[in-house]
Amino acid sequence: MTTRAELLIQQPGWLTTLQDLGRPGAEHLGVPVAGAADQYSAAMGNALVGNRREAPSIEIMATAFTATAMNDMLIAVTGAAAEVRIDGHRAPQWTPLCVPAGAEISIHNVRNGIRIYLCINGEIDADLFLGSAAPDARMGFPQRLHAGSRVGAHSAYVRFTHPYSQQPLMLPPVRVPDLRTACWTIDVTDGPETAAVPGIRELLAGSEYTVTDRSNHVGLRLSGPVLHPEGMDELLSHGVPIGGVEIPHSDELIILGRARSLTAGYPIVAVVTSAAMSILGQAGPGRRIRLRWRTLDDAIANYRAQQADIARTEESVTRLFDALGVPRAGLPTPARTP
Amino acid sequence: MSPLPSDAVNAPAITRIAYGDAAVMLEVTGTDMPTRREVTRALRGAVLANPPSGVVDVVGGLESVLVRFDCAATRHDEVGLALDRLVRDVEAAELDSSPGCRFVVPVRFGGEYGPDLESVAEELSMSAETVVGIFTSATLVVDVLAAGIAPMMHGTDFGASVARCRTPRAHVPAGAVMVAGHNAIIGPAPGPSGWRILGRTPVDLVDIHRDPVAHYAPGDLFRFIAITDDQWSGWAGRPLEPSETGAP
Repeated sequence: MTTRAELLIQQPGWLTTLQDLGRPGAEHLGVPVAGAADQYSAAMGNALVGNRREAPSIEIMATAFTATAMNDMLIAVTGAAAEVRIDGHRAPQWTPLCVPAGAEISIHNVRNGIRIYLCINGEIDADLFLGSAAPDARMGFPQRLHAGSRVGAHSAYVRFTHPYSQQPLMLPPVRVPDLRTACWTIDVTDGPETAAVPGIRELLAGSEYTVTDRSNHVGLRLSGPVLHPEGMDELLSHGVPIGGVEIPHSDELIILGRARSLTAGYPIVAVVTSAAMSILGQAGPGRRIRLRWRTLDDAIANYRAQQADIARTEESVTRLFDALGVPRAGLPTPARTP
Repeated sequence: MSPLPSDAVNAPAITRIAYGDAAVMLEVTGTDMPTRREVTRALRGAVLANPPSGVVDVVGGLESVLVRFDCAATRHDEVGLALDRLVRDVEAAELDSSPGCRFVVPVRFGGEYGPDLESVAEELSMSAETVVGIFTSATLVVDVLAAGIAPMMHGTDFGASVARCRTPRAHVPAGAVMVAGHNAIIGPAPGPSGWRILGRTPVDLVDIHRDPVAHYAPGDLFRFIAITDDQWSGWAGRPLEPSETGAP
């Protein structure tokens, strides 16, 4: 039996939206794939509550957030480190959490990153544009949540009770990115114009860059030393990769995000690896980073390892939920064994 | 018989290079500009119709096609082999010369609607009236759909390239009709742009609640007509649909 698990937003903080992994297949229309800047955290959050990775989540930007669970629900909170409380009791991140009806979920003191993902067992019900819940502000699809907004999920979850502790200990294996270092190392591979800017490899590898406040979903702008190519013609508008590191006419770097559009004119001197883009998705203004050159083979191996981590958690959650009788989205409720 | 050397010079060439760990770029070079763009559209269509396994997105450029893939599912050499087959098919095929759908776009030129009309006229050493006259006489071909489902097209016929804005604008209103280089673009949604604004159209190009969200596609033909302030409200909010007759 499917019931509705509903979350009532009390305090959305600075910017809270519905989100998912993006809308692949729309870029030929001029609609960027967009989606969670930290794809790993968003995918892992859904994996931890037994949903498809692509299911919608709630993305909370770096501020205090509170909501009330109107029904019993199973949630997971991933992304940046934060103080998560359920009815005032500290609760861990990166693990399934049982929330009783009426309880307040609060998220405070977000640190070492800027984006939190909240996922609910049973997939969150969201409006879709071209098949995805990801915001596209430019197209008039903001997906913003306000105080009083209700987020529903079609969940068959029935309150889980544990004889000894209120919060049953189900700890599926999960790899949590360590973002506590003062300066993050971000892996990059060669870009199409790396060779056109002599000395850029050494400069990028040997310098420290700082994310500025003129950064958004389209791109991060970083201050730090740059080199400009000489005599490069204006390029024709062309597609650019997610993670493309561009040198604009000013003395800064741009790292293209998932909501980038066609570009003309700026050389792409490096490309951030797919695995490292999830880390960059947590970078806010003031964040210091260093770039590290990798080969394409290493970059692909790292991304595959990251995806394998998510698959391992999914498998473990499947076994755990089936054993406990916790339903997974889109699947029949397993029979509970007495 | 081997082809004549002049044919070899004029033949389009399609090259393929890695763009990071999850994309490859196909670039169309050689031959003349209209042919390069036609080949690019054919290539984009071929990849969309037969996407190699693991491909997640195809990003059309004016004379290039970026192919993004899931590098957990495939990799450059695997995608590359499949793309090479599509490239050979495109190179061997006759270009599709059947014209696309025709669209007629009403535009209020100049003034607050087209803040760059005067400076573009000055740059081209002609009057603003002549710029509008040339622009509304031309039939432009849509090459790609850019940010916000913006139709980007060539065929402005000014006889010279138009420079971009020195400083891009952070906010350009929806419906802006803009030029840069030998190209024109209409921005269906508000957003930043470095293109020069000649005017603005009151019609709606895109409706995100409709399927399809826009009626135009690469290969379609656009023509512009000048309207007055008085005619603006009559057009406002009407969807841009293909014109059978060439009339708006």
